[in-house]
Amino acid sequence: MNRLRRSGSSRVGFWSVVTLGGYLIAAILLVYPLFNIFRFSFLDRVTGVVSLSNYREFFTTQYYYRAFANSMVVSLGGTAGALVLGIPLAFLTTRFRIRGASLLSTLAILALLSPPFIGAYAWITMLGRNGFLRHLFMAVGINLPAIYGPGGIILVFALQYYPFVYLLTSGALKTVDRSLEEASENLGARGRRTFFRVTLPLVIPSVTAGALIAFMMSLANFGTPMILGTSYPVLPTLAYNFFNSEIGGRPGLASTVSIVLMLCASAVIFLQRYVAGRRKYSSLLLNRSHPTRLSGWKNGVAHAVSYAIVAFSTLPLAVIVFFSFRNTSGPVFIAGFGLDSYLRIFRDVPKTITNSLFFSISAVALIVVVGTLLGFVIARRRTPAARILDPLLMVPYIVPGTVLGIGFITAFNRHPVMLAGTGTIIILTYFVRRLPYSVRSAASILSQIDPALEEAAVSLGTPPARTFRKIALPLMLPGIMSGAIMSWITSINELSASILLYVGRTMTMPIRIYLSVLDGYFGPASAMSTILLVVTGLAVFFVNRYSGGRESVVI
Amino acid sequence: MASIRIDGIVKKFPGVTALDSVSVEIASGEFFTLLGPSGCGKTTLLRTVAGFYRQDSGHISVGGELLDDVPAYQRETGMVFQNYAVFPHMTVFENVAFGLRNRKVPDAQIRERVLRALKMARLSGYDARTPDQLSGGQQQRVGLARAMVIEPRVLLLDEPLSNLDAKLRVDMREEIRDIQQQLGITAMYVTHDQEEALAISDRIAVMNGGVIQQIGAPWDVYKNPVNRFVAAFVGQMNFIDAGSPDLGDELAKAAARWYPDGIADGTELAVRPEEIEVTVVGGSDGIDQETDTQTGKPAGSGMVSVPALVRKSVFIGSTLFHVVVPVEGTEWLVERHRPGKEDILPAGTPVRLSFRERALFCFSATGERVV
Repeated sequence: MNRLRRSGSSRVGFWSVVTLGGYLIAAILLVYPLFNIFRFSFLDRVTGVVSLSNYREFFTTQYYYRAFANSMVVSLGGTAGALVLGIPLAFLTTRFRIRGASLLSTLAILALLSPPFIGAYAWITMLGRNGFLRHLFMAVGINLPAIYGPGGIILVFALQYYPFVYLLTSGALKTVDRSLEEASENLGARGRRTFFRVTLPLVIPSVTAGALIAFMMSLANFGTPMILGTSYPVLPTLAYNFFNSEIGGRPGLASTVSIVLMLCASAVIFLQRYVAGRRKYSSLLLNRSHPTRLSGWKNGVAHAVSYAIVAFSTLPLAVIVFFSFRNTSGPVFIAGFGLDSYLRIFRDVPKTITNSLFFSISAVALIVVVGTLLGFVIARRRTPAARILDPLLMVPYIVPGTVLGIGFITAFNRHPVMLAGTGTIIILTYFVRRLPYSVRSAASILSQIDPALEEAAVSLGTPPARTFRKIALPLMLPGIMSGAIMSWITSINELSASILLYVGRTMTMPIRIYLSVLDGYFGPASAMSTILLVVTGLAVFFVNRYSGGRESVVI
Repeated sequence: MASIRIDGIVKKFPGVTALDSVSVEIASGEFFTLLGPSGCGKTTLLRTVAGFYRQDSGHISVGGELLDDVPAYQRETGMVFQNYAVFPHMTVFENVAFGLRNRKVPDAQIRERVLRALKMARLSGYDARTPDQLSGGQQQRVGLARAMVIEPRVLLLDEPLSNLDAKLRVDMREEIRDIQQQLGITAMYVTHDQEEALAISDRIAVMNGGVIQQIGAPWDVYKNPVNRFVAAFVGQMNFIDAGSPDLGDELAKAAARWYPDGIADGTELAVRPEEIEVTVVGGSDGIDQETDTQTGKPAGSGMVSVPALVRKSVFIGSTLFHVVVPVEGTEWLVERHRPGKEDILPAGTPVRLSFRERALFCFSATGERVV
């Protein structure tokens, strides 16, 4: 009879090594840079001793603390806008038959995943000082407000982040057991009462989760306020300017702003947990609800509203694609269409494109391997070490890109780790920013795989690493693939951290677009944005194929 | 094939002691069942033997070898899972071959052994199928073949039948028992289904609250329960408060057999449904009426007769159940096989319940059997 070979009893388990690796990554790439920021925020600029002088300055200088208020205004405004657009779209598309609903959903996802400042820049071309829509309306005597300032920023945030609310809410609505609504009606509650007393409360946790993401994204967004809010500072742009100012940076104040930003983010997370935490509903989902077919004017209104919301958010993307084919002369658009702008970027900045591809693909490779292994540790290992690792790896959720960028520069800009100006630091930035998502996604994929499968393998004599390779990994693969593509999309579109870390030879496409917009070279910016959009669109298509149409993977 | 020795196992989870000093010895080739309600610790014990849990104290040895520090994957225990745990990304053949590949068995031998195992599990011809093409019962046969093919030292079965429907469950338990007998393998089987346990086992350990209540052959556990829990959990049992003032002369007299100096508080008498004979009071059946007069005979040898009212009769085909009320607030179940139509009684019918005095059990207030 064949027996298993026994090895000695004193050996370090495979998963212990992985857990240790997780701690090392967290220590070097998270704790150390963030601790640096924390330390800098308490160092006096002049004397270099520990003091509260930076905080005092921040909270007593009107221009600075107004940035805090501004951040709240645009983030809350953006979130409110996202709710106003997202909830109706979710209800309409899940409860009623809307023709082309899957197209709407794809377009919404595309708007969500487009580079974070393309929307801002497109709105400038429409409603900026020389915006064509403004001219158009002015011709008929209507004076549209310019897009600059808080209103414009809120508009762009709402249009970009409503898909979070839409996707989470519609996901929840699809899993509300129809029997609950039937029971409510059976007990005599009319349609509207059933909606407000049964359906809506059941999806509130998902609605607030979507609102939370919209808020966090708005709070951390750097590109949009940078482009639209030249005289309207918000926390990320303030931190960036403190750090990067040509007239002598103020790393101490930049760090203070970073700390304030992270505190805001954490406070909001706790608030959302509190609201949603007490309402956790599980559903047997024996009885799925099916969308009903509307008729007459109701049907018309439902379609009109759904299409209007999506069209409104897709408009900026269409404008960009359109502008990319217009002929230019220097920074000015001239009559006619052609491939000028494309030829120019391929001629002038081919390195930018290869950089973007190389950095994002390298980062994704890292993310997939590390995220999958650590996701396994968190989902399957019940050791105290694994339990502490979980929240630790979630920290990047509350670290805006700008803050991470500042942390990385201050941490890895001197002996012994001299990474500033290298591609490595940008790859590591992408990696860290995406890590919590990939760990979470791997863990949630695993939670849908019966642990008994792995136990069965173990009971048949399979060592831990081999069990992972032969059982867990193949079953996780589709989920890992769609997660990898999502990571790639966010990496190739990353701006807020890399803008602080790039040097000439590590320039990426989003940075190039951002700089071109600032310089007024809209043609090449449009062309490059279009390339990013097409690539993103293709990636979304593949995600959909791998995930079997589950839109939740984008969150 | 090996014996299992479980010695003083303690396993605590946060807030609960799942196993409280459990000791069992299972002989080589024995079919041993852990029976109990959910949360009693039976699955915890099985998983501790498998190595999925590490006990807080105590020892486990298989075939004389101490397994405490042997990781799960080196314990040579084949395990069969409640939800089958058939690898969905492998064919039936690859599922069964999986354990052999870990052991670096040559391919030709793998093929032969897998096909033999599939034949034994009555799955010949299914080797190229994928699990999603199989029914629940077939998937569990794959699970069984997969565990058997590695010729484990012990076979661990964790409620393998509880996801199958009732008829299939009965067939499969016979098959499992037959295969276990054929191979002479030591089996440890977990179930909450007392009928299944009685049908399949050489011996049963009835567990509750992390403690083994009784270990014995099916006959002993059923016929001779050591405490109230075992009596109530294995099979049906009718209880009545022995201190009730409405108990009636005959039951009181029977109770006095255990407590000649007065009945202790909380004492209960118990009798199984199938022991009770029902007669309609005032009916034509005079013979049964006369058994009432036999109470004068020496204690322990006669019949006990108790008046009661019928609450309802439930007909389930082969059997008729009467729910009867001997004392207000107490319901008993009476089982009648091969019922006639006239046996179905309307609610409120006054009846006499009679049973052998020897069929009575007595349990103290703490639930211990009083002998």
